[in-house]
Amino acid sequence: MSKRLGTLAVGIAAATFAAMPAMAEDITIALASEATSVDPHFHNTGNNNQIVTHIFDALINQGSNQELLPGLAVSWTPNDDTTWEFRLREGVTFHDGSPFTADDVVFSLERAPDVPDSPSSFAVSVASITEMTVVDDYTIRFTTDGPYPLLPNDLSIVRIVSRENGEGATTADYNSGEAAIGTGPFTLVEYVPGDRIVLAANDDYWGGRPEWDQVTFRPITSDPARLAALLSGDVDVIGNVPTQDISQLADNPDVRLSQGVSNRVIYLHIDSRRDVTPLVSAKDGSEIPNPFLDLRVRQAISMAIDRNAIVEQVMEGIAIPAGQLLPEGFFGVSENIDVPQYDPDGAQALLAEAGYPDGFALTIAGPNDRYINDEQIVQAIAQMLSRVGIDTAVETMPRSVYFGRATGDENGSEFSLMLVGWGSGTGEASSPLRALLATKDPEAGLGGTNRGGYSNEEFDAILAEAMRSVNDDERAALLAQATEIAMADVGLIPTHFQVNTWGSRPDLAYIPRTDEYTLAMNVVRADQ
Amino acid sequence: MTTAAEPHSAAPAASPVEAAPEPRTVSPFRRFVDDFAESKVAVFGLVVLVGIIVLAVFAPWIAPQDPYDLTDFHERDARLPPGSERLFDAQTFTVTVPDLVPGQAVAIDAEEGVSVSNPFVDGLTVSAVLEETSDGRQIRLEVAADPAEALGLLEAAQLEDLPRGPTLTSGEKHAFRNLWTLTAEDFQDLAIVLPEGFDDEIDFRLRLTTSETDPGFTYWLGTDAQGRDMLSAMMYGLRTSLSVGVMSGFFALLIGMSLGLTAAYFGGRVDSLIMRIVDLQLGFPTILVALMLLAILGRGVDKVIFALIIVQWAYYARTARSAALVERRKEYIEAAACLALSTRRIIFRHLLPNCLPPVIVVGTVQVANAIALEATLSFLGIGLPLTKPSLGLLISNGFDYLLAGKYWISVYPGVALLITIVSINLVGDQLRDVLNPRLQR
Repeated sequence: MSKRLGTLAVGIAAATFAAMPAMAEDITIALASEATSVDPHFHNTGNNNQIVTHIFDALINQGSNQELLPGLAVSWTPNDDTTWEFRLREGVTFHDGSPFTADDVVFSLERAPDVPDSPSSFAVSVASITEMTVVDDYTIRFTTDGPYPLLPNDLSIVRIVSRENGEGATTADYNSGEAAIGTGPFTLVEYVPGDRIVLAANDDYWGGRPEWDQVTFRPITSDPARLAALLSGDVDVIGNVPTQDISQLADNPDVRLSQGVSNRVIYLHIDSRRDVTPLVSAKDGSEIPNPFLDLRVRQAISMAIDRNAIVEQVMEGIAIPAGQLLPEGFFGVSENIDVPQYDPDGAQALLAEAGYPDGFALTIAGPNDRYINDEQIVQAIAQMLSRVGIDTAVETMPRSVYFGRATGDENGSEFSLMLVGWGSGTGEASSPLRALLATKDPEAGLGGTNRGGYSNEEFDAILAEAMRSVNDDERAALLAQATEIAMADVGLIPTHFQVNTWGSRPDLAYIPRTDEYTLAMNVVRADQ
Repeated sequence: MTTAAEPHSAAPAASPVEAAPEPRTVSPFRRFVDDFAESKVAVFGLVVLVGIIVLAVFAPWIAPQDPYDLTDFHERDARLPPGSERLFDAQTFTVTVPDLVPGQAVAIDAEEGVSVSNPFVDGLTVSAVLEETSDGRQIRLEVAADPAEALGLLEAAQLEDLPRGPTLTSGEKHAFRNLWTLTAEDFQDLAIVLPEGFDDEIDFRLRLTTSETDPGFTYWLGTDAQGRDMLSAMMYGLRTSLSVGVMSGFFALLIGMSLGLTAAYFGGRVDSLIMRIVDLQLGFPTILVALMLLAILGRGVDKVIFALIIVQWAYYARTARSAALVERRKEYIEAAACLALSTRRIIFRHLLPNCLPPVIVVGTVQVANAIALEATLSFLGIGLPLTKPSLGLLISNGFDYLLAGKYWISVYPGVALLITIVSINLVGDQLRDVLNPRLQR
C-alpha cells in the first residue's frame, strides 16, 4: 500500500506543476468540520482560518509548507532589534473596489485582538506590537516590546479587512456577508451555517484570477458519509479521508488521494508538577504520590509505547512516528533526537528502579472526535502500558467536554495523562515549545496550554534566548537545543505526526498543506 | 368479555386438555408447559435463548480470551479477518555496521529490541561485506536463516532510520518516512549504497515479519480494531447485555409492580398521583430520558442499569395496575379484607400472585427492549466503558470499517444481538398466548 501511496505523492507533485489553465468550473468541497464564522478575527482555529483565507489576505501569506510568502506586504525587514518595516503591495483593491492602504492594516490589527465573544482570539498574534506607525499609504512600521523575530510568522495568520466596511461591523455583519469584504482570491456569495459556504472567483485578484468560478464548502462530519459523497460524485474534493478506507481507495480508479505530512504532533501531556495527580492510584485503589514526578517513570511510559505499532496498526501506516514536536524539515527541529524505541523490558526495569516494581493504576484520557483515530490511539496506548504492569483504564469524550476538562482550573488539569495534538500555526518549533512546555506565565504568553505543568529553568532560559534572537540560524539552533532538553526530560511524550489525506475526483488533485487547511487554491487539475 | 383469570388460590379445575384420553389431574405448571410446547417456534426460541444464556454465563470459562483484560490481546492482531491465526510479533534488530574491510564478511551483532517466541526469527543472522564497485562503495547485506528454508517464510521487512545519504539497492522508500519496505526477493540482492565521501557510522533498525502464524490460537470471527478476539468479545458482550437487561427488568418490575398495585388497591388520589407520574414518564421518549441520565451520571454498567430502570418502571406500573383493577373487585379480595388482614398482606399475598401473568409477559418483552436500548446507548458512545465493550459498542466500533470491507467487526455482534432479541421475543410471544385468559380453553 505504501508503495502505491509513494508513487501517488510523487505523481501529485508532478501534477501540480503540469496543471494547465483550462476552462473554468465550479467545485464543491466537503470538510470534516465546520467554520464557526466568516469573521476573520472571530475564532483563531484551523476550521475558520482555512475558510477566511479564501476571502481575506494577510500581510504575509503562508504557502503549502507554511513558508512565508508576500501577501499584502511585498517586503518586511527589521530596521533594528525592535522595529520592522513592511512595504505594502500597491494597486490592490478590496472586493468592493476600494483601494487597500496602510490604514486598513492599522484598523485590522487593532480589531483582531478585540472581537467580542471570541472563543479564541488573535490577541497573541499581535501582542508583541507596541506601536504602529504609518509612514505613507504603502509603508508601515511596527515597534515591538523587545527583539521579536517571529513577528512575520505571527502576522501571517491575521487577515486584513477594510476600514471602510469594517468600522463598527460585528461578527454577525461578517456572517451576513455585508462586511465580509477582503482582498482575497474569492468573494463571499453566501454563508449558511450548518449547510454551506459559497465563494465566487475574484476577477481582479492581485495574484491572478483563481482557477475555479465558484467554490462551495459543505460540512459533512461523518467520515463514511463524506467519503460516500465523494464516491457518488456529490462533491469533488473531501478533506480528512478516514485512514481505514485509504488502502481500498488507493486501488479505486474513481478517486485520487493526495497525502501530505502535517505540522500536527500527537502527544501525551504528563503531569509533572502536582504532588498528587488525579486518576492515578496504587493497584488496590489507595492514593499514592504522583509517580510522574520521577523522570524514570516518565521515561518508562515513553519506552512502553510502541510508536511503530501505533503508526502501522492504528493509523494503518498513515502517520510518522514522533520523537519531538515537529517533523523533520521544519524550522528549529533537532537532528539529534531519535524516535524513542519500544522497550517494554527497559520500561519495567525503570519502573522497578523508581519504586514501582508492580506498577500502579492510571486512567488515560483523550478526545474521541478531534484527531485521526484518537479514540483507538488512546486504547492502544492503554494496552501497551498495561503490558508493562501499569493497569490502565481509558476515558474518552467528545472534544466539547474534553478540552475544558484537560485544561482544568487553577488546580490544573482534571487528568494526569492525556492525549492531545498541536499543530504549529507558525510552522516552526517555537510555537509548540512556548505553548506546551514553557513554564506557565500567562502575561508573557508562555505555557498557555502546558497542561502537564512542566517546568524546567534551563529550558525556559534557552527558549527565552531563542525568542530574542533575530538571527535565523542562531534561533534554529537554540530552539533545537531547547527541544532536546525537554525531550530528554520527558516534558511530554510525542507519539506521532499526522499525515493528512485528501480525496478528489480523479481529474483533480490536492496540493497537501502542512497546516491541514483545505483550500480551493490548492485544488488543481491533475495531469492524467 | 368478562372472563377473568382464575385465581391461583382456587383449586385447579378439571383438565382442559382435550387430547387427554382419560380424565386425570394435571398440575397448573404441567399445563403451562404443555401449552407453551405447542408452538415449535417458541420452543426453538427458548432453546436458542438458553444456549445464549449458557454462553453468556460461562463466558469467563469458555471464551478463548479475556477481552476486558488489555494485556490479553495485542494491537498487532488488529482487524484480522475471520479464521485468521494469531500473528507473531515483528522481530526488531538494532544493527550497527562495524568498520568493514573491503571484501571481508563480518557478522553483525543484531541487538534484539524485542523478545518474542517466534520460532522463525530466532535463527536469523545478518552479515555485511564492504564492496568497491565502479559506481562507488556499497555494503552488501546477507540475511541468512537457520534452517535455511525459513527465509522463504519472510513476508516483509522494514529497514528504518538509515543515516541520511546512503540508499538501498532494492526495496521501496516510504513517501515521508525514513523507512524502506523490503520483500523476500529484495533480500536476494540487498546492499546499502554509500555516497561519495560518506564515512559516518551506519546504523539502522531491521524489522522482520513472517508469514508464519501461531496455529495455537485462531480468531474464528476475526478481531476488532484493538486486536480483540471477536468471538470472546461477543460472549462477554452478551453477558453484559443480558445482565443489564435482566437486572434492569427485574428492578423495574419490582418498583413498577409495587406502585401499580398500590395505585389499583387504594384508588382515588393515590391512583391519580401515581398514574399521572406514569403518564408523564411515558410521555418522554425512552431514549431521550436515558441519554440525559447517562450524560449526567457518566459511563458504567451500574449507571446504565439505573437509567434503564428509570425509563422502564412505568410500563410495569401501568400493566400491573390494569390487572389489579380487575382482581380488586373480586370476592376473594373482599373476603381477605373482611378477615381484617393487613393491607400489605392483601396486596402482596393475594392480589399480586393473580396479577403476575400479564406482568411476566410485559417483562419478557421489556427485557428484550432493555437489551436493545443498552445497545443503542453503547452505539451512541455513552453507555459502557470503551475497554469493556458490549454488543452495541462493538457494532459501533466496527461501523467505521464497513466501507473498508471489514464487515465482521460490526456484522457478527449485530447478528448476535438480533438472535438474542428475536429469541426472547419468540418466548415472550408464546408466553403471552399461554397466559392470556381470553385464549384459554
